[in-house]
Amino acid sequence: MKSMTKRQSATDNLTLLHLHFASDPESVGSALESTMTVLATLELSDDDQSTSELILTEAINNIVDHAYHESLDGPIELILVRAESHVHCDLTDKGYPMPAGNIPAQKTHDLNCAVANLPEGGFGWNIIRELGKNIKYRRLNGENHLSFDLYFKDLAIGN
Amino acid sequence: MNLIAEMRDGTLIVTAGEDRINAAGAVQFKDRMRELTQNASARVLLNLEHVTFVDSSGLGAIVGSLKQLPQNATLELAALTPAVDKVFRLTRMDSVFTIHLDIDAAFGENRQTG
Repeated sequence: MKSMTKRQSATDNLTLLHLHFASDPESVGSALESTMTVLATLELSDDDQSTSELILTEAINNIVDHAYHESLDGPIELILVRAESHVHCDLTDKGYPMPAGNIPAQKTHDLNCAVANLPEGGFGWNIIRELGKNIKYRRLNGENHLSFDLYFKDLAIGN
Repeated sequence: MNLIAEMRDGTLIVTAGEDRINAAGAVQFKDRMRELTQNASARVLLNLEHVTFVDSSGLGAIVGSLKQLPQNATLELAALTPAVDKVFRLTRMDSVFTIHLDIDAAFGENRQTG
């Protein structure tokens, strides 16, 4: 790749990925696999690569479980745009809206409890909040739009 | 879900042979753990050295594996890879489990608590 091309990709907003897939496990799995292959071309650190996989997995699993209640044919759209210092992620679905019209309030589990009372779920949104920046949710024309930005250690340098 | 159990010095070591414990395999993981640990009466050590990815469903299944143990048994973890370690830290579940750097550390003095 010539240096000119590299410079352009570091400064312009570049659509890295635009995927439409269904909410069944196989389609979700292969969409995530394609997404990670595309993100790998940014030569992220292992840590940043696994962070991306985790937050995207949690966000899509939320759509499958809560927007579509595990029905298999719900359409999901994923767009990744590379900006100068981050990757912007946009997820759209046509499922049920978020309860109360927004992303769930932050929950802090009390983990100093009896083993029998430990939570076995409800971790997803905490993970998304920890790993994503500028998390936004909108309900528009019967669709859920969730977006967040992923900041990576080396991306701003423009490799 | 590929889980293999062996006894070593009174500890039941369960080694996960899958590279992922996620939404697709979480229920199977928990069910298989129940089968393997239903007669456990002491320490169960879950060896995660081959597991490179755990999502919140997988984490829930590991917590569930702790909760379903017989009364006198305990669950400790060993050999978390970096991405798996991160999930435990992000959710503060590293404070719930005793986590060992590797299997040998779980039998020696190099005990690392979360």
